[in-house]
Amino acid sequence: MRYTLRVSIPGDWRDAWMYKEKLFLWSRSGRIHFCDLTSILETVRKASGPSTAALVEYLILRNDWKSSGSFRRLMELPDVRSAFLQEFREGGGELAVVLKELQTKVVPGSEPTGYMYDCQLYANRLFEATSEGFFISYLNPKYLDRYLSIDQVLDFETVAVKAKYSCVNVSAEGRGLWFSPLDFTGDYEDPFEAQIEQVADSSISCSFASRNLLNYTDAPVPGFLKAHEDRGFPHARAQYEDWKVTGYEQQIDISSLTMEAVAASKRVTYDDLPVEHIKKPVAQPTVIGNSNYRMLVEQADKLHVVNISAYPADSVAARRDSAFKVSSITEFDASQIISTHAIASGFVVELYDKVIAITHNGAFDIYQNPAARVRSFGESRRHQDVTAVIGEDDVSLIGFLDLGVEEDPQF
Amino acid sequence: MSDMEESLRTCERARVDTDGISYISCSETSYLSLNYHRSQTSTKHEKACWDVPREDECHCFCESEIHQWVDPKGNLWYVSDGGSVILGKDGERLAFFDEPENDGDPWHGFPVSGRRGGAKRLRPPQSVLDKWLSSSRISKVMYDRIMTGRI
Repeated sequence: MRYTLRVSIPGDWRDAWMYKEKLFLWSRSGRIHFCDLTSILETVRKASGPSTAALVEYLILRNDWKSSGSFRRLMELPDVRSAFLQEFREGGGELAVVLKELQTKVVPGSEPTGYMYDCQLYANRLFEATSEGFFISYLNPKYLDRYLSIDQVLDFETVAVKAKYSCVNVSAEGRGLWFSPLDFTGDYEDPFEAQIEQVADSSISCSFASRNLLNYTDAPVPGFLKAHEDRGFPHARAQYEDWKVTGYEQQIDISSLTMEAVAASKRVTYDDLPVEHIKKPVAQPTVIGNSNYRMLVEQADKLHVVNISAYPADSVAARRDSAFKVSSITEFDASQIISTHAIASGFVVELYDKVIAITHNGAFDIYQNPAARVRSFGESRRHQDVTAVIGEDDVSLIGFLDLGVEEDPQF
Repeated sequence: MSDMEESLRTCERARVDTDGISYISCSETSYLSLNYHRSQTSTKHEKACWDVPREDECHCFCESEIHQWVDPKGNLWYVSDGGSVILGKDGERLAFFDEPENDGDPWHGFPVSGRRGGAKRLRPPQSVLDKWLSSSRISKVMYDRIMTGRI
């Protein structure tokens, strides 16, 4: 049984990000609005009561709690599960809350020029890929009055951005894939020191697969860039070491590796592939998208999940992920897929007329209208299974609980 | 096409040419429905192919012409009401009509997709999308999908 919770905030929005206890919303005019996540919780509590507020907290605002062992143990207790899920009874497993009363504030500061194709909040920086270039600005959720002037890093159209591991990657279609390490040791008022370099000839989007990078182009299978990585403190005040990506090896073609992995029931390595396969792939699969190291692969009208890895001293390797049952992820037409997004439990897939989630337990609807934009936060700790869907007149924050059983006798 | 659009439809077939069928548009402009945009067997090179009848292909042009969905280079663009109609055999929902190079030459057009990664990606400029949005031809959802290269 699956339970899907949707919290909608009416408005004329273009994009959304959940970051450090705040929800950031981009209006269609380009202004950035924000509200505290605690204010969302309070508004839900006032409007719908404490039971619904608890669901919002577990399934959307703190869904790291959802994946904890203690929560799973509690959900095994029939009485606890029944009480926790009582608000879903009337909707047959779906619950929608509309927050008409939620107040948002506007972040002061200038806006990048051009149409924003993509953005990301990471390390108190806002990265924006627009029709006029690539921009970085300081945006600390604790000090939103310090939103500073924007540094323009690239001055041509960029379409996608992916930042993590103290680095940023920018896709600029025919102008290539660009990479820059990020140095946070200076003052936030210092301008961004561009060390940006081109690492591939073309790129329509990119995505981390662990610390390595998948570069999507017009080819059916993305290129793979193995990371040069290091561990260290990301900034002077950091309490913990973290991984840093300092560069990439030359992009390699993993189409043969992916094809072999789909066909084989074991791990396949790039170095072990027959040479003629590398030179001339026979029948290529298509990688529709990836969720971290998991690639969603379509071949011969069937969907598979293939895990890709590249440990520092090892060759690039791939293995079909049998936990994702092929029969359960072929319930929809792969040609209808518009975009895919990463969540901790699997994938979020945007179809023409709805948005679905794919987990180990199969595919299910999470939003039943066309989406203007879909955001997920798979790399976040607290919102790892949350999807934000921008609709015609609102934004919906969507969380779910997938108990993995067909019938819940207590429901 | 909506009933209202059908009632105003005055475009008509003019003649059969060697490379297609000529029409006179609702605004009395010459339009040529090219054979090589109707069937892959009509060309050695891969071309986008219409998946609507020739008469509807012509009327897509008529609507673009009437509403002046024109880009800065003088080309015309088309999307059905809400983008609901699939115009091309590869699922294209947009159409592009090349401005003729010489006065008196007929217009012609073909279905296009703005989808990133597509081999022949062609997307209308933002000014045309703004016109479509402000006249409620397309929704905000469709606007963003086209702008971000997802349709």
